[in-house]
Amino acid sequence: MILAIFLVVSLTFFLIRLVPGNPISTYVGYLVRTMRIPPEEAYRRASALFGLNLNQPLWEQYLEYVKNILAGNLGTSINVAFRAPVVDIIARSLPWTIFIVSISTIMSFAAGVLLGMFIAYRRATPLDYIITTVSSILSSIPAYVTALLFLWIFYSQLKISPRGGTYDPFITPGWTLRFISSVFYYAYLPILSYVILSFGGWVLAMKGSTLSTLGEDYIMAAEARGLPKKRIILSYVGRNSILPVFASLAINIGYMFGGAIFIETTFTYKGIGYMIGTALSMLDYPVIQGCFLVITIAVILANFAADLLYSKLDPRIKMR
Amino acid sequence: MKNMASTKLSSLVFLGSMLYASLGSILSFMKRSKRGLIGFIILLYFATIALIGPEIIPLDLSVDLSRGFMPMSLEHIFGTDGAGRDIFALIVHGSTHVLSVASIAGLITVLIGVSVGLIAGFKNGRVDSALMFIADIALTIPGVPLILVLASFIGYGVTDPFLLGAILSVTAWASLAIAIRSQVLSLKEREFIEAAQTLGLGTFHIVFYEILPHMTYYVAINILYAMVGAVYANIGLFFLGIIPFNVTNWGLILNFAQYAGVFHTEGLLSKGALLGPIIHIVLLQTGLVLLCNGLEESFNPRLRED
Repeated sequence: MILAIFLVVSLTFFLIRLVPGNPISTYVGYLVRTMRIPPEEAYRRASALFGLNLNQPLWEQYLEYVKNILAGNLGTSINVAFRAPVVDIIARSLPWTIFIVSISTIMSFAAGVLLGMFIAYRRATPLDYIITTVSSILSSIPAYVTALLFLWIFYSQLKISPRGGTYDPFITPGWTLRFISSVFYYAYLPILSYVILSFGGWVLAMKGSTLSTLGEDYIMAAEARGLPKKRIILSYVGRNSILPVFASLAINIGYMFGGAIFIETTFTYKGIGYMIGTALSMLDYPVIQGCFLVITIAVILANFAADLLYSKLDPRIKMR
Repeated sequence: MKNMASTKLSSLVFLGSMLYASLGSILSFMKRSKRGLIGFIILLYFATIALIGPEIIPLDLSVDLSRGFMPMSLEHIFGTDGAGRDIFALIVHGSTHVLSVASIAGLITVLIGVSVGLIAGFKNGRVDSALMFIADIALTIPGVPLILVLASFIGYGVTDPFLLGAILSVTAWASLAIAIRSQVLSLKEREFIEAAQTLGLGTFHIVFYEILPHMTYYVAINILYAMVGAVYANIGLFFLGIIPFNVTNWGLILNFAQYAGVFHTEGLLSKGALLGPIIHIVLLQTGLVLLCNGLEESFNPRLRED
């Protein structure tokens, strides 16, 4: 896990520093040509922004860069509107993303797993056929399409949703009922978009997993023993078929962060996806780099946590 | 002009891969899978507008704000955008780029995935574990953010279909490589491979004549799934405004509609700038997914609808 994080950190350094047309040389070129700043001064400013000393040999720069990241120094935003250290921007935005991603993951996981099990029991009926087809189409529809459709229906036509934002700017943040309800009022469309984005995948995964569990001998044995049907469904089929689906939860978290960029940008929801989205369109490289690092490390950590949890839930894994 | 030529070339690539994915099974679709047939018809529509559309439908990019957000009508099927340009013409002219990039990305993903999987499955030991290590890393890194970051760093050159296709495949090959490897490992134990080895046939022969034919349908499905992912990320790139040119790209039509205030226009009919691209994106993804389902059904007897 630490190796993977280390590789990603090195990859970003390589991208920023060495690829032709890399951000630093672009930025220096911009300062020299457009702002008429002498090259030495331009290099000094670029160094300050990225937290790198461009006069040092490359390997020393790399060490410096790793040391800075370990110390939590990710540079400063180029964007005049922010002009804040990247770490602050991330600290402000990440909680919002975690908030909507976790709520919607729980919702879509629960609903998808239930529906997937339900259609596995009604295999090869027209209902199964329709739900399976719709689920596989749903999971292929891009997040920004869903987000725009929701904006059109709920904001433009029905006028029961805000255009975007994170909470009502006229309410002071705090643990008041008004603020919390405003938070949910602004969050429900992003959450709904996330649910649509990942719901279909859960249905299909759970259906496949349940079908293979139903073919197992111990299910037949349980039926032959005359156990109550409810008990078989819950503790024999349900528990065993949910495990492999649960294992893909971690992979899905990475997928959700990809969707976060599109969903939060469309709803101007000020989470980390929105930050990286605006930074990308304004070529605000320090923010891009910082957010990308944080997203990747979050995904790697989530994978690690899921592995640990999975071996707790399924004792068979540990025995191997 | 070079860009034009490579776009033409890549639309041929698109047509070729579509044919590859569907030929021989078209007839069996008619009998076996309604979904596959519907998917094929949808993709045929896209192939038509991408290959013939730009020749028939003229593209007028002149800006006339007084004609902005005109309602959908017979003259303008999906109305006009904020600057008075016909949405359908934009969509048709943008389709060539979207489809060629998607098919190139699909082919690159499958090419890398299959070759890495084959090599890893055949070469035991260090090569295998090194390749699988790289695949594991690629699987962990979130794909869409990495694609967006790469594209923004590369900047203007990125509209070239081959370069964009390569970027879109940057992590997508990993899961395919792992799946192919495990298939190779299980096929290797089968008797007919042992027989071929005993006969002294070379690795080349075994890979291309004994193993790959078993995976044809699997490879075809994965080209299509990789295309679904590529369409998603490619249009998303333009939607975010990371590459703010190529006005005909569907993502940029959506981006422009959003900022020109399509949500504040009156009535359903004036939402063409939103509906046109959305319908086409959803339809394209649906077509690809349905064709996938159809292929799965007709090659995997366990899934067949009876």
